[in-house]
Amino acid sequence: MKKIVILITVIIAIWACSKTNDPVDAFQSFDRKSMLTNLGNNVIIPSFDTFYQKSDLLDIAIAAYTADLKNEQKLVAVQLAWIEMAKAWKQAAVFKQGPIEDKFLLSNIDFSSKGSYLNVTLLEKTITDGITIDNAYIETKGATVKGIHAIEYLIFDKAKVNANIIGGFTGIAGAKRTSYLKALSVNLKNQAKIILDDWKNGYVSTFISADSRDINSSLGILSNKLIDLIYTVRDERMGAPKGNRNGGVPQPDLAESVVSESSILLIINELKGIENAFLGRTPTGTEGIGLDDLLDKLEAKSGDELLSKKIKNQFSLVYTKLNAIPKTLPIAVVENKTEVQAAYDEIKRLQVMLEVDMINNLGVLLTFSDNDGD
Amino acid sequence: MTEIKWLSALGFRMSAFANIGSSLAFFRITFGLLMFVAELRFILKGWITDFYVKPQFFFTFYGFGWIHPLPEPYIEWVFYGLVFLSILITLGLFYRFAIVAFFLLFTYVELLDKSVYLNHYYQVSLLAFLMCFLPMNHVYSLDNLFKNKLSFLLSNTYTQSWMLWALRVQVGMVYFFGGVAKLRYDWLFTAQPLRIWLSANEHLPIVGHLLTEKWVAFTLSWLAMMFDLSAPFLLSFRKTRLPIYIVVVIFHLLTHYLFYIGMFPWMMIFTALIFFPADLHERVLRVLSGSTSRKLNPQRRCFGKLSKTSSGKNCQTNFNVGRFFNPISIKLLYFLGLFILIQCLIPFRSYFYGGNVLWHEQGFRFSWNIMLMEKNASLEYHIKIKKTGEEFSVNPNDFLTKIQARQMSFQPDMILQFAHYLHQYYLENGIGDTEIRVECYASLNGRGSQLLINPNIDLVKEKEGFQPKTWVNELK
Repeated sequence: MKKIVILITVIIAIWACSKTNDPVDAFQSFDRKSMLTNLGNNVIIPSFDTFYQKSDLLDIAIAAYTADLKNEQKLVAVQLAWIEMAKAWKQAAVFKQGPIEDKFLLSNIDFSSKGSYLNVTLLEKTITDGITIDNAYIETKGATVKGIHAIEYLIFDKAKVNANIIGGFTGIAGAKRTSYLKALSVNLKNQAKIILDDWKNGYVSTFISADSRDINSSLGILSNKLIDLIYTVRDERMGAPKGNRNGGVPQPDLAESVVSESSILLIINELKGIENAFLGRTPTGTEGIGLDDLLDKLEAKSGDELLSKKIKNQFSLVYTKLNAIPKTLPIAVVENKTEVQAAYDEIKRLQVMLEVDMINNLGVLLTFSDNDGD
Repeated sequence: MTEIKWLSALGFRMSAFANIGSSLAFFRITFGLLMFVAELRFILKGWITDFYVKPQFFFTFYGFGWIHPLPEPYIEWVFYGLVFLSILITLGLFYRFAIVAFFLLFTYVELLDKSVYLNHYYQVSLLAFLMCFLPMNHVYSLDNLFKNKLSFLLSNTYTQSWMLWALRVQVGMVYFFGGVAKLRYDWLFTAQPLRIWLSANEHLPIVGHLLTEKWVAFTLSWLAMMFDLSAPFLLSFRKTRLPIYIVVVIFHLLTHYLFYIGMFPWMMIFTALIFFPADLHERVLRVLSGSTSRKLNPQRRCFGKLSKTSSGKNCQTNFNVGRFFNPISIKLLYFLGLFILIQCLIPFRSYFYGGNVLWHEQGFRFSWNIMLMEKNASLEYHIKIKKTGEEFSVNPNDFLTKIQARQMSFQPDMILQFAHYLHQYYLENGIGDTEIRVECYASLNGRGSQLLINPNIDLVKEKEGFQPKTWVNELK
């Protein structure tokens, strides 16, 4: 019996080894821990650093504008700074594990629930009700009246008439509105600072050391976040305005950031964040060890193609289709249904590749119960 | 004096049938303790709420749709009851009542929801059922200790060697059929899912980097297959017993550290001890009872209700061959033989469906398909309201707990069940009659994703049951 076992083992070993004409050698130095190290130090921290820098620049722009309320140029600078900040945030938004979740910061930054991002009525009331309007005041308020979308609401006009915005800040209750904008900006910057500091001072080592495969491992949580976000992008950001919840009749108002007309831009950046995590890529575009290398190490394939390559190609296809939408999303869901549908379908394909094909090869556990090994 | 009694008793037990009672008692105590830990663990992890309180819909087994979870707090009492019963079983107090009640309650819980089906829960039910018919409380039990006052507690069945073998067969089958289930292309020729799972354990010290090697996955796959197929036989022979038991322990400890299979490794490690000769069980029990309650010993040593006194001599006279095969036990023997035979057939039912059972999962459960697949899916329901023609999509996550949603996403029978639930739900909520189709991309053991279910089929029209599920796509 023993001899047979040894013999068979040797045969298998030889057979298995002889088949190793694969890209494994290229990844000799690769392991899951070095992937987490790269993701933590070179992807996640720089992403939050960028978010913090951009929120700081926004705050500076707001300070400049609020000191000179009738200056449209300064208002435009604020608007541009907001876009940059929002892009940076969306690129970091997939990394919700750790500080953001532990301290419940998401609702302070980027509230969303089934296509609703803001409570405008409550927001206006919060402004007029305010006596001392500062950061402390904001902190006592709920998610629907603060964060990036509250700032966006105050600095953009749906009709794209900047005079309307300036009118708001200079008219009756204009002082309160101005204070509220400043306080929102300070509050947002604070959130960004807390996240960045927490990641830098400790959480990153927690992230790197949780290198197992259970539901509480870094890779396990990241996988879950990734799947959740790609689903949100498809279902909430695209699906809802497209009319998925309304029997196919478009609901343009359910798009994110309608007022700044940046729905598609933010979708692209949210996907960029997922792509960065997948590729182990820094916000500035330098690729390191990521999930793609892990898939390659396992020789994960989809048909004859490497799965990692297929997913990479799918990301670029999705961007192409999103950029091919000729108008802003709220308009396009009505006027350019074909293009919107095409982009939606490719996002869906990407979602399946990540949620099904990728996860199947990672071997991480996505639920906490015992299993039979299924 | 006492020592002489002990020695004579021990000498007696070395004889042919003598220690069967001890082996049964040993198994009873092991089982009781395992279940005590398992149920306590279940409660402490908060799983009663997660699995049986939170869900608004339960995936019942076909034909058992009438079984529902009790509302709070009664469902909790069921689990406290199971803990209490496992203590009774361990102590051998009111054993008959305890084991029957345990079997019923445990099986009831397992029938509540398919999403938490585990092979080892099935094994617990089977063992408990078997133990209902065996006199496992004849020695080393409080029933025996109090037998003068509570003579009704001990049954008329004598301890007989086939009972030992019944338990051994029941334990051994898990290995054997677990091995048969590994005789599949994925396991043997792609080393899946071990290749994926082992690689995911790269973080482990020393062996970590080895686990990502392809040849390691292949070697372990083949060794596990051979181990499973041969373990029950090697455990049955004196010469091979100890070495293979050491392998059993190593094997299960490995699976414990590498995979998340809960109590299963511990259950196998301890229940496999039934293969050892009875004098080992006897020695362990003597040490245990001697160190805990010395007073009980004189009675505990003896066998059955026939040992009217505590002397070894009387014990010896209990075994009279004429009574050994009494008519009751012959009938019982046939009955349990049938019970085992059925179990031997059940794992093969999936062959009648053709195709890959890991993919279509017809005949997958109750077949010792352990650790055979890494499977996951993305599932969405598309609903069409017949009256208006309006269409919309549903994500099962909105109706189910995370565990349910994950489990049902790749299991066709559950996908159908949920479709029928949705159909009913929309009828009751005034939306009216609907057509329900699914878009389900699934991936099995590293294969690329593909459609699991025919997306053009209206599942409302499909019936649940054992007939072949023609609406499941074939694995490409």
